[in-house]
Amino acid sequence: MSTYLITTILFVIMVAVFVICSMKLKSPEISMAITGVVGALVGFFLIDGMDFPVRILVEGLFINLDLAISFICASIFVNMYSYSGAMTAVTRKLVGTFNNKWILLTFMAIFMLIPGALTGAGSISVFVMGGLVATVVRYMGVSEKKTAAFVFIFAILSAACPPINLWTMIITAQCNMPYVGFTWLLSVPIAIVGIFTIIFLGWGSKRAPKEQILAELPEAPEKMNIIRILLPLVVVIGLILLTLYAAFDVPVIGLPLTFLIGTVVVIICNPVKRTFKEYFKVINDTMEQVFPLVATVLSVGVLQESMTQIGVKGLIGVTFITMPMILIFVFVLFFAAFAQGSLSYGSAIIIGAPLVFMYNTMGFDTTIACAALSLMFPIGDCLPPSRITGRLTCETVGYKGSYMSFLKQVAIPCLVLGAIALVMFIHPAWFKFLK
Amino acid sequence: MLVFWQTVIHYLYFVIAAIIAFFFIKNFFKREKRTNLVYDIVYAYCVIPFVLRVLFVK
Amino acid sequence: MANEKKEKAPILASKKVKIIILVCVAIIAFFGGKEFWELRHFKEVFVASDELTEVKWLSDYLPELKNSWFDTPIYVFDSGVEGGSVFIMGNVHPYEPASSITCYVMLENIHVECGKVFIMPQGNYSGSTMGSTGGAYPKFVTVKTEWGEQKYRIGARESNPLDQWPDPFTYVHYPSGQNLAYQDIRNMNRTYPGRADGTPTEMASYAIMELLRKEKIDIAIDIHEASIMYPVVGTYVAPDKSLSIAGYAAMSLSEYFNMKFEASPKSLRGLSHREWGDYSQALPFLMETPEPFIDRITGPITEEFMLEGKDEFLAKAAEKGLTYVPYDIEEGQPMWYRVGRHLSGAAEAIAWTSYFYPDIVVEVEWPLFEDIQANGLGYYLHDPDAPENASKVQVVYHKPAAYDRTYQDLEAAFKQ
Repeated sequence: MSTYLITTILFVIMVAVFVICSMKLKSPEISMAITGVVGALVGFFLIDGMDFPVRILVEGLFINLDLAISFICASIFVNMYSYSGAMTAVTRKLVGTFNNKWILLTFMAIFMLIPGALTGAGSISVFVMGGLVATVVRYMGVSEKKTAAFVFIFAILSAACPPINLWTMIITAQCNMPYVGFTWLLSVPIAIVGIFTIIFLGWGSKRAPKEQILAELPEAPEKMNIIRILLPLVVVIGLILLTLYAAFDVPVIGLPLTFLIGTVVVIICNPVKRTFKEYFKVINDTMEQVFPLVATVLSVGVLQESMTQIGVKGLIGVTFITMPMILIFVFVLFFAAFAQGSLSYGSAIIIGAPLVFMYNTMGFDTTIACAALSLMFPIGDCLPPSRITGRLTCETVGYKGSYMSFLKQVAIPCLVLGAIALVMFIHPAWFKFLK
Repeated sequence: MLVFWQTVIHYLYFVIAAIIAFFFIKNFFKREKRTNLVYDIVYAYCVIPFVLRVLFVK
Repeated sequence: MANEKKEKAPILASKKVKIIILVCVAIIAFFGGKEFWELRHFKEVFVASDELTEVKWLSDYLPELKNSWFDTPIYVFDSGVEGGSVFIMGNVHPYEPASSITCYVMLENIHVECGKVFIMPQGNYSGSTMGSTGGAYPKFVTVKTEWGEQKYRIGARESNPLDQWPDPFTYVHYPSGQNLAYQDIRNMNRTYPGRADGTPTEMASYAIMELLRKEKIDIAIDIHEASIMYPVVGTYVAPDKSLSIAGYAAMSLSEYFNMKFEASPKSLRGLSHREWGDYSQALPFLMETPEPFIDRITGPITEEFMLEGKDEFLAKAAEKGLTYVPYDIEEGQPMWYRVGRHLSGAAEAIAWTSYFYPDIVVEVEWPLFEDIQANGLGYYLHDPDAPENASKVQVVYHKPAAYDRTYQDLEAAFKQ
């Protein structure tokens, strides 16, 4: 049998297993893991010279281990911060200070953009700011569905936003390009989509009177003051900035420890004395709350490793990049988004790097092509099988509607982002002024 | 000095992994949400990378 | 409520069932873990050429590396005749095993007529102790010989997180301040010139720079492999000061195979072909050979693929003009070919440097491309278990280690 035939059979089997498992078991995590295991086992029997896959499958669990630890530590920080009453105090202050809906929505958008722009991970934006932003946006009269969409869109924009865009960094690393010249190429489209999103989702909503909102919001602890509110955030953002701008003078702290240090500051700043048992309960509840997401990122690793070993990842990649150029233009948005949904940042390696090389050969501007692709990949963060940021948003915001209704709500802003990226990709020359 | 702190942080991460593994195993036996058999399996296999990392295996 | 859907009661597991689940998972973890352990502690061996004069360690150049998994042996061959000095390094990206196998062929067969040669087969020892996470690579690659099989490990691109953890969310290169992807902080070919008080990978890079400076290395060769969809494949990369030599060497090699040469970009920092030249007196050459195995759009990942380099998907990509070297699925890019290219590539770089700079002449011999083509790769690897080689066996580990014959003896006894 040819490699094409075998890998196609394996691909079909994996899709079927994933669909069946998703329907029967109602757990996307285990569905991905089972799909990976089945794919690897069938591959072992169909393909000559394949190792028995136990090591490969266990190795898959390590692909996103650091990401999983970051998620856990970020959640602990945020939940501890909320538990101290600081989150309520911030919300009360914001609502009390700003009367204009549009100004408040713009502030919320900027709040969402900062953590992701500094760390390269949209999910961190959702963790750190999602809950607060959702509360404030809801009080602006925006519906639950639109609130979830607001948080999601700004989360993916934050991931794409400079200074840290991981897709761009991965592609430039693969292509031996310096990571320079992307600031405006990424910022301008993000600003356009951001403004569009605020208007699109905020239009028609009616803000409740300030007094009513403040009456509904829980009271902040008595001794909570501006220092207690800001210090934990200042410490976390300060450590992140130190890593970026004083990298040679500080040890590598990593995001998880940054959040844990922030957690310690939260505990010190908490005006209400709590017992160890109470804090232990908060951590334990956080672990339960964040577990589905942690399980998702770990399980998607098993799926990715299995797809790589048996050649299904290669099949997807080669099918796309060997298409005629016109078809690449037609399908690039679709492929980039779905590759992101199934391979996460691996999408930048299997689709991003070959396309940039191709542009290099054709004499097109690779920096603009790379920026364009880096704006397409984040859209896939709401797509199955992994749908990490999408799922996280729904859980953080507490959106109770169906996932499909959430997808429909985010579709328009995503399409606007995709359209701008596509124009950049097809006509890089038009965007040279942004370099 | 930088190397000293680097080493301290390196080992701190193994401690973090151990604490996470502890919570996962604890919640595997007793938890409030997602108590069904499917999530027992998910909890069980998700502990693997943390345990292997703590044991300096991978 | 009447319209509320009746949800199925969840299936709850008893304590007994939970323990069974945990035991099953523990068994999987044990077998997976056993293989990781095996790769981490595997010791490569070779039979050193009679001309080996000294074994140095990377920690000789930065003592803080002693007892770490970044320490690695450096084999010195001193002819005793005044001349130049050469440094050759393999496996700085340990998922490119043709680079370390090239070093082993040199180490087993080298003859130095003039000058001094330093060979470091495992540039990033830590990185060689784990598989490439996400790459699904086999653990080992085996070369067949007349006396049996010689096994080499397939490592990762970056240092092992067991030795350097955590990663930052972005890597800022020292001293340029250039931002790179976070995992590149463990990529030794992005951390030059390194720092004595930096991360372990930066410290190892710094130690290599110290070696180049203290040993007054004239010619420094960094051996790599590249995916065939990567433009810098089948290429010498050199900074301005050694670029013309690379050009002459590439022309000489065209008799046997196509070798390109390319200038080291000034804006891309941290790579050996840039920083070795800028921070030491050495003339750097980085060599890349085609390794389809590490391309990203390949079919199934097997040891045979690593050895033969044949893949249908890459053939399709080549048809579309997406590869940067000609690719024929009938021939593939086999291990012998890749090792042969490097052996001749290094020899030509040294020969042309000696021609242009007679005061640093180095005369050295080892099997070349045409020898490997004629006799096969295994022909040049010697049996570490043969009694006549007993005194020449060298173990490559992160600390001095004796060759453990117990396993081989037991196996031989079992066969008898």
